[in-house]
Amino acid sequence: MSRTVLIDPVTRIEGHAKITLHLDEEGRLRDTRFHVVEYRGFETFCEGRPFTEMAGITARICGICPVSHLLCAAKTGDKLLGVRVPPAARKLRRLLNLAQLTQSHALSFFHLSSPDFLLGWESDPARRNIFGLMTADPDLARAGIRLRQFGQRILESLGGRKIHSAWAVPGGVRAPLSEDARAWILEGLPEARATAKRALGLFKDLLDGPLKREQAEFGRFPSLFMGLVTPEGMWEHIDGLIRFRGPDGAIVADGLSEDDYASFLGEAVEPWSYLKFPYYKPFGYPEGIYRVGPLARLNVCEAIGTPWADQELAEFRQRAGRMALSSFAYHHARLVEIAACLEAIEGLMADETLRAGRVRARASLNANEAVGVSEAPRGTLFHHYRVDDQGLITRVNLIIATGQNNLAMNRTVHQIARAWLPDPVAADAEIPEAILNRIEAGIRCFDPCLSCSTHAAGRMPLEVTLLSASGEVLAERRRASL
Amino acid sequence: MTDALLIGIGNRLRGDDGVGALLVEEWRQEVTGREGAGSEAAFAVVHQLTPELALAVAEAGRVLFVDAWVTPDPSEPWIESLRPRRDGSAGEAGGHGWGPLAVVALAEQLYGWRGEAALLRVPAYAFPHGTALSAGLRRCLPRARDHLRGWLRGGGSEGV
Repeated sequence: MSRTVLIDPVTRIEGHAKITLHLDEEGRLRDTRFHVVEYRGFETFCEGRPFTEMAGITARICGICPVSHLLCAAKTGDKLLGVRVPPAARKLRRLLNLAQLTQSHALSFFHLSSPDFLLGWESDPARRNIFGLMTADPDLARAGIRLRQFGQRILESLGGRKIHSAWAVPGGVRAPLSEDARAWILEGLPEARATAKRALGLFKDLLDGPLKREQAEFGRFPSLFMGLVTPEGMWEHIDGLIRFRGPDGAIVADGLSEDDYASFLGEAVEPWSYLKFPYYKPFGYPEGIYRVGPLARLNVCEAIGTPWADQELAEFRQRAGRMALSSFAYHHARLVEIAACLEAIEGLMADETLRAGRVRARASLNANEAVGVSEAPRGTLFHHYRVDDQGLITRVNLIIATGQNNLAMNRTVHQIARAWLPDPVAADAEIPEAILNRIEAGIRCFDPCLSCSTHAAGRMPLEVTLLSASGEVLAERRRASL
Repeated sequence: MTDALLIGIGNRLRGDDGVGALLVEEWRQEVTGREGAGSEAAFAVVHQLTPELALAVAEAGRVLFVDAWVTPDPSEPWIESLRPRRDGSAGEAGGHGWGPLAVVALAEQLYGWRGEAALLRVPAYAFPHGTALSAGLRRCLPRARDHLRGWLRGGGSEGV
């Protein structure tokens, strides 16, 4: 008789999911599934709306990272208008995305993930959160809050509000950066850099000590990695070309345009999840498994292009290898990207052209179909719109970062379960809390935002179930919802 | 330091869910350019609570959160005092979703804040897409406004 373990709900992620662990007749792990069980259907209700509203509508998919949808929708709109976005507007959009990456990564590291690292996997789950962190290291907790606030304030100063701003529009942006905003960004940068530096130091010490095993084993498996790079192959987050690298570091595909995404990305569907399973088409399903997000961006690029971030990237590669295959390395990658973002923001503040000239190109509809792409904090984001001659949406396809990591999240859970569950699992075995935590934490490496990727309403609790070969529930663990 | 901070919570595009944001925004517009009770209060209108709001709370003498309260039965708005647990446990914070208690607890524990915190709960009945409010909620609005003004005048959770 085979059995299954169910983890439901997964805590500290957005959306709703459960995990089932399927055992075979001998009690050995046969399969794991990360189920996403909510559905919203954003793509459908966008139909009939003017494409100019898409930035405002899709930004409302999520209150956590609306900027990513805002920018991608605006970029798709640029193509429908057929305009060249003014240089100042392009740079202002870059600034917005850098601030978004900073605040989102700060939230993920300081508020959601660091309690696991700093308080220990075995610590009381009720205290393994930012409140536990602030007891253990109040200075770090305060610094994390300030770093996120720094990113949020940039978003607010550009967009007029922290979330759901409609500042980026097809053709550019609505308004330039004010002198006041530039002044306080410059004033806030040293503290933000100091916080990132401290977090990097702390995390690297943990990687060299108590987290060595996690770094080596946690969700480690070969896969492709996809991300934007500049034409020179450097780190990019909004304007680049798409590159795939294999687990051995070989460039599998390069210079791909988002316009052709359907030729290299397939989307499989499984009956047990609302989240689609994108894959690299030339390799087929599921062999075309790939990862996106901070880890993928660092793996696909040659270098970042700024001194501090490149130094951190070199150290990252020293620890994780030229191709970091462990999903646990996502956490370190986020911190490296914070360094990259802060340096890039500093560079933009010194760029006079950021404040020069027009910030919006205007035109009427010039195309009936367009695809936009940008790097969201969690990975590459595609918006694909078809419109009629009046500019009303007739079809939308959104390929969200968390969805693209779906196969990898499933593989990560499987890997962790295989490494940490007893083999075989005794029929009457209790599932230790620490193992549940690690499986959950495997999902959290990706910082998934399932509200976006399934377009689900509500929060994401986690449920884990252990099932026998015949489907009998042998053990079940549920966490209180968020 | 600001004496009072109002934090309106909700999505104005989801029916009654946006009542917290509506009431605080309404008050902000009413007092803009005027002097008098409440005109010096600080305001924040948010879709959701986030940890960095603890910084704003820590800079205020007292804070009132205004939020929709989902209830199937006809009810009246009321203000309740917020007293975070002292055991450092998660309370309402554990992920992307935060509650007022968690923000207050964070302000107390990280910044040593010792001000007065309260929550104005406004009964909410319907959450469709759009800005229209349900009849049940519209009936509650005058009382909710009275609570808000009373609190700004210095009334506590028992005094309004």
